[in-house]
Amino acid sequence: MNLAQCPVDAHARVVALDAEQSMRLRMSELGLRVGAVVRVTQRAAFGGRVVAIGAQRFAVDGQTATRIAIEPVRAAHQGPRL
Amino acid sequence: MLLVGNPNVGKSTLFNSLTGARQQVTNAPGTTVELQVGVWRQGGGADPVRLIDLPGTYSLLARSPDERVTADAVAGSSRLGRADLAVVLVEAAGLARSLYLLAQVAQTGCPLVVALTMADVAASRGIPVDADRLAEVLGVPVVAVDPRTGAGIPELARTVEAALGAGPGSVAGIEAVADAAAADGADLAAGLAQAETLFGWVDEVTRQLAAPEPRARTASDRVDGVLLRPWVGVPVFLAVAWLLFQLATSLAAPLMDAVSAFVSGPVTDLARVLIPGPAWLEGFVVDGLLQGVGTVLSFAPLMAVMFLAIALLEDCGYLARAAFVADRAMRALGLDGRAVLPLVVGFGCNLPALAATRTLPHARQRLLTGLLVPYASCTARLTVYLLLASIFFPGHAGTAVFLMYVASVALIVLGGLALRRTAFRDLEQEPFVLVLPAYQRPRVRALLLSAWLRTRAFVTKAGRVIVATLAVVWVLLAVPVTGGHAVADVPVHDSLYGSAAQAIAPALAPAGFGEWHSAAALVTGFVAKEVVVGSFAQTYAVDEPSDPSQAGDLGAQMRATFEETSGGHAAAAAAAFMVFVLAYTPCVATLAEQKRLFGGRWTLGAMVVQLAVAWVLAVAVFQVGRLL
Repeated sequence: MNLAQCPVDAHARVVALDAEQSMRLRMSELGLRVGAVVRVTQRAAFGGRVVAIGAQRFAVDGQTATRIAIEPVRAAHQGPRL
Repeated sequence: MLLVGNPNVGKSTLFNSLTGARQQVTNAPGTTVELQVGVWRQGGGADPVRLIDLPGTYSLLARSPDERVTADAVAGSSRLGRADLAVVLVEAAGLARSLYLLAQVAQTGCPLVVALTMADVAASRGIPVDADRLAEVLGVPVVAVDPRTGAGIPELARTVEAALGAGPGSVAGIEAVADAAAADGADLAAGLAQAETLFGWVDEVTRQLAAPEPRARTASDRVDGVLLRPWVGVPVFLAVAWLLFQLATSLAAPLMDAVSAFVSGPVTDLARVLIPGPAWLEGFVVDGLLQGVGTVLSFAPLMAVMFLAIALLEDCGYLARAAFVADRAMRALGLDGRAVLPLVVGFGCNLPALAATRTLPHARQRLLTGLLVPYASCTARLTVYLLLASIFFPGHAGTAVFLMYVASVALIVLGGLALRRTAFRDLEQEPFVLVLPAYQRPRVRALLLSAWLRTRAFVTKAGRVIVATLAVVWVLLAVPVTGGHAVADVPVHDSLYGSAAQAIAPALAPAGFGEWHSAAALVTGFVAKEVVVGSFAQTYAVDEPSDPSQAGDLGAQMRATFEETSGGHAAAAAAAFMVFVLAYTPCVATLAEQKRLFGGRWTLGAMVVQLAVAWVLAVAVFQVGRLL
C-alpha cells in the first residue's frame, strides 16, 4: 500500500521510499524516513496529502505520495514519535 | 558566534532581540546569499560578540547555495573564518529535525550551546519538552528561550559567556568527525550512511526524553482542515495573491506620490534657491540628480510595504500553504511553488516582485524567478498598450490589450521552459515534501525591523545605480548636437539623446516603426515605462494626454508617422511596437535591483537576451501582420 491509498487518520509505518538517492536523503532528513510512523491528517487538492509525524506536519504532493510505501499499524506507536 | 537552526524556528526573531538595530543585511562573501550580521552587547562587562544569522537549513549536507553558506560557516571553511561558538536553535515542536541538525553541527567539532524555542507551542500540542532533561541527555548547556517575549535571554547570555570561556565540549554520543561537513550533498552514498547513523542517535535521544504521545488535532490542523480543502485552498490563495497585487499598485501609489511631491516641491524649490552659478548646473542638480533621488525615494514605501507583506505571510505560516496550493501549476513550469507570488506581484510592478523572491529558500530558484519577473507585464506598460490600442485598434482596444497579457503569460511560461533546459539544467526537481510550520501570531516588531533594513539596503545600493543612470540621461538630453542652442535648453531632436535615437531608428525598421520618435520613446522606456507616453507627447510637441486612451492630437500625429514607417500597415507596426514594449528590458529600477540581488553578469546577460528576443518578436509580428 502507498501513502496515497492510506485512509485519513489511520496510522502507518513507512516501509520504503521509491525515489532516487538524493530525494530519499532529503525526505529522510526532513523526517519522512523508513520506520517513521505517520498519520494522514487530511487530503488536499490534486491528490496531495497532509501527513503528521508526531507533532510535525508535512505537505506531500500527489505523485510523491504514491511513491511512499507504507504498512498499517495500530494506533500504539512503535517508532520515532517526535 | 553563529546562529544555526531549521527555517521557521524563531532564529531571526532571536537575532533581532539580541542585536536590536545594531545589524545589517549583507551577502555571504562571494555569493548572492543574504546574511544578517550584528553585534550583541550582553552588558555586565562581557565583551560584545559578533553574531551571524545563518540561512535556516534542515541539514549540513548542502543542496543549495544557501545551505552551502551555512555548512561552510559551521565547518569554519568559509571566508568568515572559524566560529567561536554556535548557538543551535532546537525547536521543541520539531525535535527530531532539530536534533539531526544539532548532531551534524556537533560532528564538525564546533563548540555549541542549545537554545530551545517554541516550547509553548509544543506544550499546547501536548508534548512538553524540559530544557534541563534535554541538557542532561545531550551533555551540553540547553537554555529555553522565547524570542518573542525575551524570556530566557539573560540566561542565554550567561550560558554563552561561560561556554566561550570553557573549552570545546561535546554532545553525548556524537564524535567530531574530521571532515564532516565536507561531505557534500553530491556524495550521496556517504551522505545517506552518515544520515542513518545520526537518525539512530536521534531516535535514542527521543527515547530517553520519554515524551508522551502528541495531541492528535491541533489548532493549526483545524485551520488547515478548512484552508487546504480542495475547493477552498485555491480561492483563498487567489484572494491573497490579489491582495498582494493591490498592495503593490493602488495602496502604494498614494505613498509614492506623496514622496514624489515632496521632492519635486519643497526640496526642489530649496535647491533652486541654493544652487549658484549657471542655469545648466541648476538644471543638472534639479532635473538630473534630484529627479533620480526623488524616484528612488518614492520607490522606498513600495518596497517597504512589499517586504513587510511577504515577511508577514511567511511569519504567520501561510506561505508554506500557498506554496502547496500553487505547486502543481508551478512545477509544470519547472518552478518552485513559492515562485507564484513574485510572478503575481510582477503584474503590478516588477520592482517589488523582485523583493518577493526572498521567499524562495534556494538561491538558484530565486535567480530563475527573478529572470522571469520582467516578462510579467506591469501596469506601467499598460499605459502604452492603452495609447496604441486606442489609436490603431479603435473598437477592439480591449481585445488588443487582453492579447498582450496573454502574450505576457506565454513569455513567462516559454522563458521558464527555455531557461530550465539551458542555464538551469542542473537545478534538481525537489520531491515535494514541504514542512508546514504551526500557524502563529506574526512578530510585528521583528517584521518592521527587517522591512526597514531591507528597504535601506535597496535605497542605498540599487538607488546609486538609478540616480547615476538618470543623471546620464539628463546629460544626453542637455547636450546640443546642432548649433544655436544653449546647454540644457535643447529641443529633444537636437540633443545627443535625439541623435542617439535617430541612430537606433534604422534597426527598428524591419519591425515597422523605424523612426526617431518611436526610438526615443523606447529609450525613455528603458528608464521607466510610464514615461513612454509622455515621451511621445514631448517629441511631437503636444500636451501629454491625461487619459492615454483619448489620444486626440497625439493620436493623429502618431497615426501619420506609423503609416509612413510601415508602408501603409500601421496596425501591424503598432502591434509590433506593443510586443517590443512587453518584452524588452525592464526599467532601470528593476535592473538595479536585479543587479543587487543577482550580480552584474546575470543582469547584463538577461538584458541582452531580452532585447534580442523583443526585436525578433517585434519583427515577426510586423512581417506576419503585414500579410494579413
